[in-house]
Amino acid sequence: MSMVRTGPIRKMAAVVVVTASALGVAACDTDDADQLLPLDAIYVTALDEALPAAPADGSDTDDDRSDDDPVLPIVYVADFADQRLDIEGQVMVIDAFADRVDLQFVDEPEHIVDNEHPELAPLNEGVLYSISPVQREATSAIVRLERYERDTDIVAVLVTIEAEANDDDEDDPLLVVVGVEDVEPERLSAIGT
Amino acid sequence: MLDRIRHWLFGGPEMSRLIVVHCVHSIAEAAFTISLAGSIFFSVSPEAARPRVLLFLAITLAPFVLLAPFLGPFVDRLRGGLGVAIVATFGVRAMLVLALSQQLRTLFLFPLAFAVLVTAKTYSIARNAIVPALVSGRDDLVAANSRLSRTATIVGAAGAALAFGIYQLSSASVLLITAAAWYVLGAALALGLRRQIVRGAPISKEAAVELVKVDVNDAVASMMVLRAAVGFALFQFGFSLRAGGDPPWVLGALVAANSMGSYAGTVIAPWARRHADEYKMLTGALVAAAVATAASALFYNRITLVAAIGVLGCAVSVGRRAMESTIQSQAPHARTAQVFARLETRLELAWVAAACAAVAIRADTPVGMWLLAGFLVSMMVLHARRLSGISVMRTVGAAPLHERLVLRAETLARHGFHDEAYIIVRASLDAERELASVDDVVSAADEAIDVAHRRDVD
Repeated sequence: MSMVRTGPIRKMAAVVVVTASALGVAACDTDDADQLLPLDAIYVTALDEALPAAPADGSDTDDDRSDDDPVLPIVYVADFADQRLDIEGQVMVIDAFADRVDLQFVDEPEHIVDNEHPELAPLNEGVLYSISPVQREATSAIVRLERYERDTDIVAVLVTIEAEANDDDEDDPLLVVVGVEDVEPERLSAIGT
Repeated sequence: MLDRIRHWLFGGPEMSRLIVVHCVHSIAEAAFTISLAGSIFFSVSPEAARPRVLLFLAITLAPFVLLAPFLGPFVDRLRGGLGVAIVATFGVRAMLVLALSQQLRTLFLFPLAFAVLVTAKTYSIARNAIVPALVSGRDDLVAANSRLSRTATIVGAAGAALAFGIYQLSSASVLLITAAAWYVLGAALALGLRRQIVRGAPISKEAAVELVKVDVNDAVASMMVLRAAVGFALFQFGFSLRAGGDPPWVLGALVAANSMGSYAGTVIAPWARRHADEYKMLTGALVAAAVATAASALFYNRITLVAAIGVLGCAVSVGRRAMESTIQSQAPHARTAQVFARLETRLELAWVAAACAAVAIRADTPVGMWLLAGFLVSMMVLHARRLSGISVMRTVGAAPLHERLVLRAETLARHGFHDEAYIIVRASLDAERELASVDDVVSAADEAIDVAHRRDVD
């Protein structure tokens, strides 16, 4: 004998499970894995040029903070909605700089800057980086990187990256920066205006 | 003096062990929750995390959907039944948080954290199902659950402060190891529960009839609404506050407000029960939650947001007491572990389904508050409609039994409870011998259901 009416609930829940699973599985696809210039690797290479060096003591900061561990500077990274790094890529980039900065991805730059007080630093005295959509060629890519500390301190560069053959692993080419060009800020200079 | 405090916190010997176990659980949960602040979840962007969270919420939902019908009977057949289930949920979580302590900065965070969530929900179902087996008096169920909730909230707040201190002084990984130690302690303490709990009896026919009473159904439905509101709020604001760049303390303030509201509810509920019946308590809880969220949506800022979540926490607590009181008074035979396990499963399903909706919707905080307010106001209106149906039935309380039963079946059918309408009519056959024939009753119910179907089609 059925005690409690669970039929409609189960049906509703089953629909939610199936829909959400489909959405989730679809979202888990990675379209960069087989490319010569994976997006996450481009991000790491470009940010490596701009981010501060690791603390001098070289301590491992893998979440095992203690009183002796340095407090890492907070760095926010905002990419564009139409070329957003997936969660696997974001974790890879965060991990690449774990000993240098506390890197956090944000959806929009405006979310961590006080628009009414653009003269102030981003949230928690962090530094904001914006990465533009990457222009890919056959073996190279150009990425616009903008850095925002406050509205009077914004810089922008175009970073050119090339893939070079990797003697150790043919399937995993090395990405190197072959050019950095100063340009006028665009995206981040619009904050607060 | 100490004895009075001890009794206020832990009650009599029949409940004290479960309360101690639940307090240890609250401390462990606080440690687990605070440790997530050091996880990769707060470093990836909300938009990137959203599909993964949705996927794992759906996976969280699956065990309850698929296993719910079998869980109660299976647990009842176990020696020690729900006591064993509680020990198991502690043990599994100890292992999970130990594994998580090494995976906080990797994508294994998601499956491990949601596995902890599934076991926490299972614990919640088992714990709430166990209480009726430990108390015997007519009003003991409500009092026992109030005490359980109140003491755990107080101890949990102290546990959260301790956990925050550990997190500040060491790391999230160390905090998770302490959480594992608390879970192991909880499992050890819960072993004693097995001796207190006799094997569950099968659900009786009386309980089946009592559970389809409109009052009981309404109480459970109202509680599902409130639980869904909490699930929605947690994930909606968990995401939207992060995405909107609000500082982490705002989210912490929401969690604290919800806990304080819940505690306030344990104090308000007994007072409200003395001055009003269960319907008014449930109506009050729904109205308070709907008005608070609507006011917050209208005059949105951080203060109104925190206040609304506090009121929601209080409403859930009061609603919970009202539902238990309704079951106690209207369905005394349904006070079994198996019935409560099923009811709790429904409540948890509502929570998870609403959480899925919140993650999928992608609304910002003010819009999320409007959605929450709209949902609660709509449900409040439905609740009022159901109440009007109940009050109509009460006006004919002096009618002969068979007429009252038929009327009740008709009302149930109009509200879409067709199966229950049949059960009511068939149950009346045992009680009412002077009916002209079985066909009279069945045809009356069929007619009522036809009317309802025609109305649905129209």
